[in-house]
Amino acid sequence: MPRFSSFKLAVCAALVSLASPGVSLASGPSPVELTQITHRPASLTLVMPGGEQVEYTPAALEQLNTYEMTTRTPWRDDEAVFQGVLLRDLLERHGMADVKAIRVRAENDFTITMDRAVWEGESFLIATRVDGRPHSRRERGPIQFVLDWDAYRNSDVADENHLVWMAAEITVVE
Amino acid sequence: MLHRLLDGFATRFGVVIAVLAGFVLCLSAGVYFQSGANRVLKSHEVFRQNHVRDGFVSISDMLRLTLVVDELVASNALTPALHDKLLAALDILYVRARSLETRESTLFPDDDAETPSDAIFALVDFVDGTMAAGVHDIAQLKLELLWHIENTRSRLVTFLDKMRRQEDKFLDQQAREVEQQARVVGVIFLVLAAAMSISLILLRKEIVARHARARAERRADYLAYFDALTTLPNRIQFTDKVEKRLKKKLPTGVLLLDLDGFKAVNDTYGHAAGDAVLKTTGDRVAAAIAAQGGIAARLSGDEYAVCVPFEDVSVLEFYADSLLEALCLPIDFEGERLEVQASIGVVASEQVARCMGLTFSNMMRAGDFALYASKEGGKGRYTVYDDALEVKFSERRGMLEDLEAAISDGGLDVYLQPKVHLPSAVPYGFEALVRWQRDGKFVSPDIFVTLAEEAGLVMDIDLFMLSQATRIIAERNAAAGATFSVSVNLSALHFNGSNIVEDVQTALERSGLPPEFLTLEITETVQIHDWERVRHVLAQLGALGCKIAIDDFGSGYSSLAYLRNMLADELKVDRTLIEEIVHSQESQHVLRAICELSSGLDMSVIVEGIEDIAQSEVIQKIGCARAQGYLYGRPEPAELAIDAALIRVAAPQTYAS
Repeated sequence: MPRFSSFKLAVCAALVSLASPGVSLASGPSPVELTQITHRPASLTLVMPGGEQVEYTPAALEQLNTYEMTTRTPWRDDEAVFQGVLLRDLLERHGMADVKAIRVRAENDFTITMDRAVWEGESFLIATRVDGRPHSRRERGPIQFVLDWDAYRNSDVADENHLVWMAAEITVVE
Repeated sequence: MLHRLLDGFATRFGVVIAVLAGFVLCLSAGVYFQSGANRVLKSHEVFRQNHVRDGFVSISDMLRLTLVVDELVASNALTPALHDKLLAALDILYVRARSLETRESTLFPDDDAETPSDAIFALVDFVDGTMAAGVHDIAQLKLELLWHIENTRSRLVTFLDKMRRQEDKFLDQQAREVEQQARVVGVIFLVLAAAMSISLILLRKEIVARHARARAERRADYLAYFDALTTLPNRIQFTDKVEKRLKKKLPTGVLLLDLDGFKAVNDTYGHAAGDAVLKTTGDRVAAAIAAQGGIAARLSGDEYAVCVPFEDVSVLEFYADSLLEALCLPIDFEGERLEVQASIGVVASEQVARCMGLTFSNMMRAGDFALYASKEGGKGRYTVYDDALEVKFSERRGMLEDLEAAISDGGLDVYLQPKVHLPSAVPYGFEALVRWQRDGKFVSPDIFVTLAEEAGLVMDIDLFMLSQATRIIAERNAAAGATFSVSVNLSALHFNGSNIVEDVQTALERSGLPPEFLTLEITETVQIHDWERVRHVLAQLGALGCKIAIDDFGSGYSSLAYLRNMLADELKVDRTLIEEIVHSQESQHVLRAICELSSGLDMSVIVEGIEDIAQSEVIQKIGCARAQGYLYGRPEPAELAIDAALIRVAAPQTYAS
């Protein structure tokens, strides 16, 4: 029997390593104070249950608590400093934290449905600035959903589709 | 072949190799599947990267721009709202082009043709440039924009076509991968099925062998201690148990049973009937002692034995009585009533201990002797081994021991009685007769030959006589230039599987006696069952050159079938027929008939027991030419008999009244 014990240990270790989620070294968004700047014309519309709509410009969004994070994205090989607000904060502000899911639409008509587990599991930053500049459409702004790169890589719930750029509308899915 | 292969696998080495092979197979299969899965995942990555979607969405983005251009043409002025829409459509196209650019370089790195992204960037640059310079001629702007849009559309179609081919290629690869894996899986399953089959065959073989071994061991154990036919204990178990009792000095009675008439049942109704009798007898013997305890056993053939824990003779007699009563009941076999009875010898340990030392073999010997006494006393009865029997037993045992010694030491004497031609009465040969002097006194041949027959010594006596008589006659014939023949008696037992032909040949070779001077006298008997075998042996003896005589003809059954079957050269008419020959017309008729019969069968007749001249004259009148009897000479020691015969040959004398 002793000669099998090391084999058993190896198997157990392999199983544990398969089962355990990857360890994230992400720092995530951190609070930051932003000075006012002139943004490109853009808007993010929230469509509440019942059809009520609230439209946010980037400047209006930045009235919420602001955060920043330094990370890369699938379309950026180099890191950049993204600044903006948390998706979670925005939803909570409108009592939408408990909804089952939301549907996010981009200016180019791209649409993705996000289950609550996605925004609860990961800290999505709705970025309005990059490297201190107003976010531009040609850089996948002006309003872009960003995740910390390591969190994104190791996430069980989030994928590339959730990193919506040119975000234009959030609708509650009932 | 298969068994050898399986045996090879069943060794320690074979098992190690098989297990290793299994591991290697599984490991290889795992590695192969993993690599296949990786290839499939890699090709699937192409679809996950949304390459095709990018192409289609680009066309949609182009359409968005076209719609803005249409609006521009319709309003014929670049209003701020249209400006923003145009910029948004351009920005969207720009970002799409950035994505396409990455994919193009990944998917088609060596493709130098103008790509959709190049075309889009050219369009964006054109619009950016025009916007920067200020839009003056809407119609011209539209024409140039449409040209760019058409150029981009064309590139996108080419791009999508390439993508389609690429996807086809990947799908094809996947299909081949799946096919290949299916083949590998099939082969692996075949190998595993074969290995499993071999394992199952091995397992089954082992189980079957183990069961067979267990069965054989149980059967062997059973057969070692039980009789298969009657299920009674056998001689070995009986011996063990009785010996143990005797060693512990426990009171023990033994009853030995032998069926009377069993042989006749076997001969008349066949072996199945014989087996039924043996089985029923076994059941009855077991039942008879069941109540009192004891052991019933079948020793061999139709011999049974019972051991009971008593030595009181009256109790043993009670047992013997009840056994006799039970065993004489008829047995039904296929509608026939088979009747046998038993003879029983009863012996008590106390009697044996007093007479000869209490051992198993002494118990059995005493029991056998009592059984023998029952048989001799008329069968169907029991005899208790008591003091009187002990005396007889001792005497018989002593005589048997002496007889055995005499046979092996050459202590028997060869006597010769002349056989003569008539009417000259000149001896032409002798009958060799065995005589035994015990402690200086002759023992009657009737006694010791009977004893020898019972003890199975008679064939040894025959062979002794054969070698001695042939030697003596050959020597004397050679010495005197005579041509005496000699007759030697042979028991019918020789025909039941002994080497009599070789024995006769050996005697003839050793003595140098010409075969035609040797006559083998075989007593008429009902003991012969296998006539085929008898004829075969007689033919072989005849081929040696010996003559065959039927001895004592007329005293027993005098079967004509016997005469025909024996292939004899000579018929010896028994003395009982001659005793009355002078005065009995019937005897004379019978003798005359025998003579005529013999003549027809080409056999010579010799008449035994001629004691006076009157008898001699009667038989001569009937036509007998050869005789033997006291008138012509009594049995005498060989040398004396030959001396006398030689004198008679030299000076013949006539016997006449």
